Amino acid sequence: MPAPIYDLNGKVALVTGAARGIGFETARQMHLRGASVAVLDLDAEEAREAAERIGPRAIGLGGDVTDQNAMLAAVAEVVEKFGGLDVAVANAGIAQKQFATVRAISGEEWERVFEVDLLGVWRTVRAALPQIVERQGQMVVVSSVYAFANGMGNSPYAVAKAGVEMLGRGLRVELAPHGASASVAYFGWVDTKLVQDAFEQEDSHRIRELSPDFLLKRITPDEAGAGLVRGIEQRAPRIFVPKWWRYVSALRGIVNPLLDRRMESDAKTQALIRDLDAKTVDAGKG
Amino acid sequence: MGRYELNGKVALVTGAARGIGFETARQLHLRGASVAVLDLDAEEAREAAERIGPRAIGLGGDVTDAGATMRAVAEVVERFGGLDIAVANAGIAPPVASARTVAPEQWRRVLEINLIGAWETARAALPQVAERGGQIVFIGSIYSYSNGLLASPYAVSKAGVEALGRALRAELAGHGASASVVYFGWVETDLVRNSLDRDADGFGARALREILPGFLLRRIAPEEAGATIVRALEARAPRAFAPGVWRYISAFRGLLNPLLDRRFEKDQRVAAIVAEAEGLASERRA
Repeated sequence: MPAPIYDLNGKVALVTGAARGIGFETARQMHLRGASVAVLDLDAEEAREAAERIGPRAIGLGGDVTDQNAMLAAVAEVVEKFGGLDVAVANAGIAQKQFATVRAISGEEWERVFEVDLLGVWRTVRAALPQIVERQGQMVVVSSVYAFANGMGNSPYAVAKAGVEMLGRGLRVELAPHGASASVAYFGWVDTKLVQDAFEQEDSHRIRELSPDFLLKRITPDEAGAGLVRGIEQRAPRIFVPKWWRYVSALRGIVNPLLDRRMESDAKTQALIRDLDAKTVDAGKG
Repeated sequence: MGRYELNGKVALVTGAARGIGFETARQLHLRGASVAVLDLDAEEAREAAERIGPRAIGLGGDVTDAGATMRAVAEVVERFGGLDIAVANAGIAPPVASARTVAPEQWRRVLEINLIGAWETARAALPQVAERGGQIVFIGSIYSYSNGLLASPYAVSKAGVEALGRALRAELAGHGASASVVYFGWVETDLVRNSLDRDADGFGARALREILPGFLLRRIAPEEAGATIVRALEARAPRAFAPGVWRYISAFRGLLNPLLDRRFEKDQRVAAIVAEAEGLASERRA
């Protein structure tokens, strides 16, 4: 493994959605490396409890990533408390309550996912950038393998994560002249509340059956956080956990048209879509 | 799959008072389809419909308003007896600016129209399109996969549109309906001229000449773009590209993007362009 080029010791980091899961692990492990960390989550109480578990240089902040002023206030509070902000990790994200087709999902549900997962990242970026640029720090945006995998049954999530990837890539080029950087993190299935909830949905085993087993291997939040922290220490443009998703990403332009086509003609996939279509529409009627 | 016959079909094209949308509607009409021209300004939409011919109607409507897209579809159904094809074409581009300096309202507005607008259009049209085995066309862009430096909201929106179109195609297959994503490079439209040629003494066009090789800067006429959409519909193609060279860049995107992104990041000319864009943005704010 290459030696770190960015030393986290003494740096100040803000992680959104950090009361649990990947966000918590990222904050905890940056703190272990000597960084001061601000744990932001929707519920201020949970954020403070998480910060207490992390250690002495951690503070908890309540804040909603769908509220630009809340994000500006959070950054201001971090600066007041720790004197600045070097690393911001836009991690907060949600998933649909249940898998649903574009046809069957409610407009409110689609837009709720989009608001948090894409616009929430954007608001975090906007709030953090002045500090990041001034201190030649890092902006990390958490995308997903759904940035390039087909979003069938999960379209708002895939749309948001494709957008997040694009935001991060452009930002990296734009930050380079300032000596700052941006990274895009792609996680497969991490054993977080988001994924556990998704896997408990009644149709989820059928969605999983459509993928080869090796794509479904779940990693722990601990591994995801470790991958993220290593990426930050390298100022890596792209951080993949598990790592082999890197190769899927590299071949996406060739593989996606083939996989997408297979989905259209695969009987199992199409049977699942029929049920997703029908069920959610019925639920809407009832 | 056989050719999709356009004669006798009913199509709705958003943003169709001019440019690519107008050309698409006009050429669909030439093939024997009835067309509804939707645009923000009802008067302009009606004038465009008159220029197109006898089976064309003009409708005013804002694609960011779910009620308006639903009403437009209802009106098309009432007038022509159904809806087979929706082309979610309406889109805007922001002035050239970095993610750090673009006005937040502007960023948001581009996302609203290009991405939420496409989603609202698809959602309004889906019941008809699914029932009639029809088609939905999304307008992607080379910015669906090229680095979005200095064009952040546009690139983010077009990456999202691509993900939406791919997911929807998989979901529609069982209905005998389909979705397509059509990727355009530079088309001689008001959108391209306003953002590249007219804004800030042609700064955008000059910036692109610094960043991209000449053969990737070729502009096509709206007629050619419209013809590409019509051909994609006739073939029910999952994706179409104009100019065609972008198909190959898309196929190799997973391998090329990391290399190109890195080059942009290290390139001093790109750094100078970013600095100039950020200077322009602060002048605009002042």
